[in-house]
Amino acid sequence: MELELLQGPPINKIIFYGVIIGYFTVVLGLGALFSTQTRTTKDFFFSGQRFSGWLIAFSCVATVIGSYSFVKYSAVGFRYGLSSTTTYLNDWFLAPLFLLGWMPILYYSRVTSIPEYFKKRFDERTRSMAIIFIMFYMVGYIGINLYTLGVAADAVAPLDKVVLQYFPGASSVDAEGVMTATKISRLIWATLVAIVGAIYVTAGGQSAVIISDLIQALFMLLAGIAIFFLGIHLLGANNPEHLGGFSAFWNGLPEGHRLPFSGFTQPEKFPMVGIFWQDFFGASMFLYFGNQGMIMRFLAGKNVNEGRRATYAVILLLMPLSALAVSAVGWIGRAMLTYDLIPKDFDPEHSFVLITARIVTNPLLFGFILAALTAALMSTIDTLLNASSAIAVNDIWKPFICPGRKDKHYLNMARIFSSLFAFTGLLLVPLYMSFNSIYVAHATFTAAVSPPLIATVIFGILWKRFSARAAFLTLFLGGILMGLSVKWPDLIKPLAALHGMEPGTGYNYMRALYGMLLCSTIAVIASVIWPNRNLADIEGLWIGSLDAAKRRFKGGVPNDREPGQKTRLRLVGTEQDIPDTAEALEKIIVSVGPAAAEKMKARTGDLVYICDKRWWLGGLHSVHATLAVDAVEEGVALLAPTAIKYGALRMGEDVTIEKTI
Amino acid sequence: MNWLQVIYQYTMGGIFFVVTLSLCLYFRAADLKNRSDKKAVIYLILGFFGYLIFHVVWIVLASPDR
Repeated sequence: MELELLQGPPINKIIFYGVIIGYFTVVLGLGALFSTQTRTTKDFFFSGQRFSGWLIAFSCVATVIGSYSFVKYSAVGFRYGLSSTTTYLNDWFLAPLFLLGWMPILYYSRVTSIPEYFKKRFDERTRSMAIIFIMFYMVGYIGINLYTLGVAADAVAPLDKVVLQYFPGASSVDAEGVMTATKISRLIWATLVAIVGAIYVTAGGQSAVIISDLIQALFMLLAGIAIFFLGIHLLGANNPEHLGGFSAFWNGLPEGHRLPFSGFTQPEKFPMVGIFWQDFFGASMFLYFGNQGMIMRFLAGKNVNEGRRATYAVILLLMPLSALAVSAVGWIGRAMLTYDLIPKDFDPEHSFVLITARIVTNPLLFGFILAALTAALMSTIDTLLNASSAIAVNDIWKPFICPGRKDKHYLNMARIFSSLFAFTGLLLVPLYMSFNSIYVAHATFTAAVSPPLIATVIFGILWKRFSARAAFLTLFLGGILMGLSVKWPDLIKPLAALHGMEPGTGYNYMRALYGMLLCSTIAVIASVIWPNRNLADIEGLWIGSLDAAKRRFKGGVPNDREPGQKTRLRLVGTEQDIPDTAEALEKIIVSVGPAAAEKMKARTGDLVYICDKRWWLGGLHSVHATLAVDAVEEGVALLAPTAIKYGALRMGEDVTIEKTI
Repeated sequence: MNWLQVIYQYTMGGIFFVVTLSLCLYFRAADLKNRSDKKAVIYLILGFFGYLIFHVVWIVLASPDR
């Protein structure tokens, strides 16, 4: 990960501080706004499962793109051209398993975390191992993100002079003293972000995260696309052949840079075959099947179909746009090199900062780019804090430390854990500052645990014979074998050689495939020796039993073959209210007349979703309920006043109602 | 040119895609009598070929012989 993020051109400090203060104010405001709507743990972790697909899609993009994405892919785009998009455009292959298997299983089984799935599908031992793997990854990653942010912010607005003034221990002006002041400056920035992140995630939960992610994603995509078009304009105005902007850009790229893929096994540091496997099993599969934060996004959707729509939007539309946004600077920079608009000895590692400074000359627009970078950093932190808290509460606190308490207690604990993880991440920052090897160790650990974790999830979804013992062995032995491949990379040599790679090259890229093959072998052998025989225990947790999951989710026979239509009704409060407790809010009943029910193809006992008629709110004002078809005046929906308040709906106004299942 | 790469990616990725989609259909995780499941399966297949066509057209456009 590139850390020298914004070195180079002088940046207007007033704009920088204006952007930072403005941005922090907005996200803190969102936290305060959603704190009143967050009354249950379901609200805190899944926003009450009320959001529309488009909102979830943007939120996913914000989670995927980090600030390092701009820096990394600008450099990759400069070096290897349009093939930098490879990793953003190969996710569709996993879509069937995710859309038809994994997401419905989690949604209908009301599973809140990956370890909880392991507990239900396998056993406690397997869950414990998954908790260790996932928590180590996430807490370490919070620290890395805070460290990265500290370095980035310090590069733009160093506080070392302030530090030297107020911290006597760092007052020395020699090299060591200045270094200490720089470290403190970075730590101050990291602390500031940790505090802001902790406050708005703690207060607003997943709703604050998703809405702030929407803003962040829009900033990032618009900034990247704006840079691309400004770069095209610059090339059009400055090429010696007087070509139009896009022609100048296209002709300015070397022929090999215009293709969608790099060479099959070359260049050594970006071979297509290695990138494909590394990204497919190491990154994409982990993102969709093993990343708690990403999974919580999809589970925040109002129903499974909305999660599917979000996935279509992410993979088919937003990922290609993201690829353009994060790589554009590098592509433009390479074309600029062709026309001698930058020096021949230009270092691609700094392309994002230096090329952006050449392209974007307007200070306000540059401020917008800075806002996008800040957004990229914050959007990863907030997701990690919420996701870590979900595992801490649902997989550690609730089952082991304090079982059987009311939901209010767990909501309070969720908030405490969010803050605690921000603090823990902050404690790691000085470690990352002092020992680069810790950062490397974390990256290696993550690469090593991904294939065993993913293999266990995939076999768990697909194969009913895959037993608890087989799952544990896949995780345990798979982890060991992956560790051995780090120690002795020659273990991967046969796979690399099979693909025509030069001896000694490509091992890191082929490690994910090596891991998946070995873990799959372990899973199959162990399942043959110790097959799962308790099929009743895994009902609803593998693809052959989704009907059972749906029945359990609804508490009755699913009614989802005919989707029906949305219907618009006027919302009226019932005379009898319900208590304002998490338990009561799980059992809200809405009464409608027979005509409305017929339009929805729904009947009494079906689950429905009631939403404010303003679609652009994305489901912010909405609530789930069980339908009762009654002798109610047509055109009217009756709902308890507390439920109306809980869903932030407006009494007397129109709402749309649709059948969920 | 990129023909080997596109063939490799869509063969390897395609195997994973077809096997997992087939299993989901076989085990009725996707019920084709359910309208939203049917729509999802159609979108999945269209998306696969959409990406394939997108990459093929891109390679053709980037071909120096064009």
